[in-house]
Amino acid sequence: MNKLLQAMDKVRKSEHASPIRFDEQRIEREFSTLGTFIGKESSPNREVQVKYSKTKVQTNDPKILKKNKILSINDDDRETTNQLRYLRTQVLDKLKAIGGNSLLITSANSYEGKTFTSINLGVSIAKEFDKTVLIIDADLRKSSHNHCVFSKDFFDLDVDKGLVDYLEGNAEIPEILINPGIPKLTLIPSGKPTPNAAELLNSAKMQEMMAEIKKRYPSDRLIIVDGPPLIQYPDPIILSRFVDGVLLIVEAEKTSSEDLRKVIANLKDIPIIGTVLNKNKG
Amino acid sequence: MSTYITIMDFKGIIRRRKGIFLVTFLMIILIVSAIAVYLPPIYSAEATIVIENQEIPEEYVKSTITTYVNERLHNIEQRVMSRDKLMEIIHTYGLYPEMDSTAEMVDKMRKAIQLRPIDIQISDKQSGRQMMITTAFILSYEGSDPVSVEKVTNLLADLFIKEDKQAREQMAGTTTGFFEKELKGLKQEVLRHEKKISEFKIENIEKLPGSTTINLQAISRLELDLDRIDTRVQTLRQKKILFQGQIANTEALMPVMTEDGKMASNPSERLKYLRLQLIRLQASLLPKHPDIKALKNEIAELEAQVGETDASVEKIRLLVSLQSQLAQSQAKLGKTHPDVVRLSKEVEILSNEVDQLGMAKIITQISDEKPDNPAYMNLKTQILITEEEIKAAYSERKKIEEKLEDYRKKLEMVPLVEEEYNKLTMDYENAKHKYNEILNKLLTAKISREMDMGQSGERFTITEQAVIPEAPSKPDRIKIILLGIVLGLGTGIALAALKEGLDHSVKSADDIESITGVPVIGTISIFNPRIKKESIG
Repeated sequence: MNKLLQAMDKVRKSEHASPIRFDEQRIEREFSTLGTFIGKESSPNREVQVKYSKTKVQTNDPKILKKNKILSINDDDRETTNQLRYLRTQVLDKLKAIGGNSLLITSANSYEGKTFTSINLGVSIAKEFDKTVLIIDADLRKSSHNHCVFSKDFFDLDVDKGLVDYLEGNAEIPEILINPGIPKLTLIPSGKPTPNAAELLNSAKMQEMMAEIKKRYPSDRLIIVDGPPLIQYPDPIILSRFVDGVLLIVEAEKTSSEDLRKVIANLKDIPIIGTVLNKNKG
Repeated sequence: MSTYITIMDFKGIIRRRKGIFLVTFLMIILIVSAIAVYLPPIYSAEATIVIENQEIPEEYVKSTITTYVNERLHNIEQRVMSRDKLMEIIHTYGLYPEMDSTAEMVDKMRKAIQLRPIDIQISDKQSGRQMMITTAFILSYEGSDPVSVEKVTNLLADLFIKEDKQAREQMAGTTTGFFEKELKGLKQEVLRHEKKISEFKIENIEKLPGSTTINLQAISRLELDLDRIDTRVQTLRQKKILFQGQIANTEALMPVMTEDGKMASNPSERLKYLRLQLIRLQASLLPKHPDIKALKNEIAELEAQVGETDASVEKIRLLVSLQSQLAQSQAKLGKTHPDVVRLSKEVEILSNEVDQLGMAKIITQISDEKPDNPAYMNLKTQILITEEEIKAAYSERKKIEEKLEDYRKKLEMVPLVEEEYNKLTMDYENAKHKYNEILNKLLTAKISREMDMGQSGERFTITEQAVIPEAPSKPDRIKIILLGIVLGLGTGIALAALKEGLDHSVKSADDIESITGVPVIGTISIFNPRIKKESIG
């Protein structure tokens, strides 16, 4: 626990330096609370309703999370859990090698497992004792109605504000930060779908936010940006400017080799730290 | 993508495509099974018809049927399968009630009838070569009703037998008919030639080669006759000469009694004698001779005594006699002989006297009438008879010669006639030969026909009648289902392969690395099927 406290302290310190006014105590409290209640059944903390709070905190039943495919929450010895652990190690190694702490996760088409990978990877990294993780849902399109709503479907969170709201100037960063009840893990949901996602992502506000976040999250903190599909939208290219590396998700037996080639061509100037073969059946 | 298919790839393919494969496979099996179950049953009946060989060896009787069994079978099949015949059967048994058009019915029936020859391999007696011959055939008919199937099959089998017999009879009849017609023509020709020859024979009856001997015999006989006649003529001539000689020495008149011989019976006879005596004396003595004077005186006395008598006849007779005497003497003694000279003088005087009398014309008459010597008259008659005989012989000879000439001519004509006769005979012989030949053939054909039409020739016999089928012959449901399984397997595999071939998706980490050049740093397998379904995003 000592180590954990130390890490928290570190976090706190860095947060002090941030120009954005975070409720440090809140975070402090949050973390300790979360640390205490983690893995236990407890009623969700409704303090997220506090209007001025920077990071909304919601606790979650691990069973629900597991049901919602957040597999990395478990410490079991299942194949997928182990695979996620392996992926986590690889990603961290690669980032370390390039000296970065931000990562864009994208794929050729929709529904190939970007969000699944983002969240599981994020949770898995957050479980490392010295890592904190921020996951930004940067897919502002949600063109298909059956697209999984990031926070709702994975974390059972009901959020009313997200990235779109911030970019449109309707919310401040602290308003859109949310803790899903997992220690050291923070989310920025996408918010309501918008047709002019590319413009918003290309705005100064986005740039500003990313700079802020990066600053607040030094190297032991990791920023994972969950982007939209690359073939359909230019968004991932824009987003790639704000990150150190790209992780490409490929769905086995679905992503065609042609699409994959297109993606590679589009990302030729951006460092791809690696690819993930998702839904592998072989 | 790798060109090698590893076991892992193969497993992947099976896993990916088993769905489509199973669906296709089961669908096809289901459809085929349904078809197999719902196909109506079809019954089939069979009749066996054996082709029996000719019972009489071919060396003895050759069949007039020269076509091959298979050929004939085919022809009969055509006839049995004719539209009219099939329609008749269809109507009789009320087949195919579900169909309206007759063409369709006939077509269906034709398809339902099958003819399966049973061939066996034998080696030819002469050449020893292997060959196939048809010994029997199986006639089958199939339909939906077992009872009518049996009936129709038997009816068809009977039809086959009937048609075969008919065809056989027709064929045999054709052969004999042909020969009969030919024979009729040839007979006419033979008769024509016969008539020609007989006419020719009648026309040239004695000039024919066969009559040469007869002719020659006749000729030699006639020649003999001729010789005989010649001999007779000779004899008759000699006889005549003899008679003539005799007559010359015979006085035509009875001798008058002279002083030195007999006495003249009456003064007229005495006168006659004297007168002749006077003529004789006048030839040798001078008229003034006392003898002559004395004679003349006596004559004058006598004449006065008897009246005027006619001495002319005696004178002429004397002249004739003297003339012949003279001729005889001249021939015997020559002209200068004194007797001859005297005789000729006598003839001269007498002929003068006769000329004076002017009675030369009636000399012979008088002398014929007048002769009174029986010997003379007898000789005369003999000569006349002989002359008549000679005449007859001559005429007979002439006749014989004519005949002989006729025969010779005929004999000369023989070679010419023979040539023509031979020609005619040859034509006749040729025609007759041809006629006989055809006649023989006709007889053979008639025997063959008897054999073919009877029960001894090659023929069809039903050895096995069709029976009512107990179980349907079609459809073979198990076979159809098996086929369906095979078809399903094939189609399923084909479809799966097609899908796999058209699928260009990335399948393994190796694929990604080879395409992107970026290492695969993580692999996420499916947690469970439920999650797989929801893992969209």
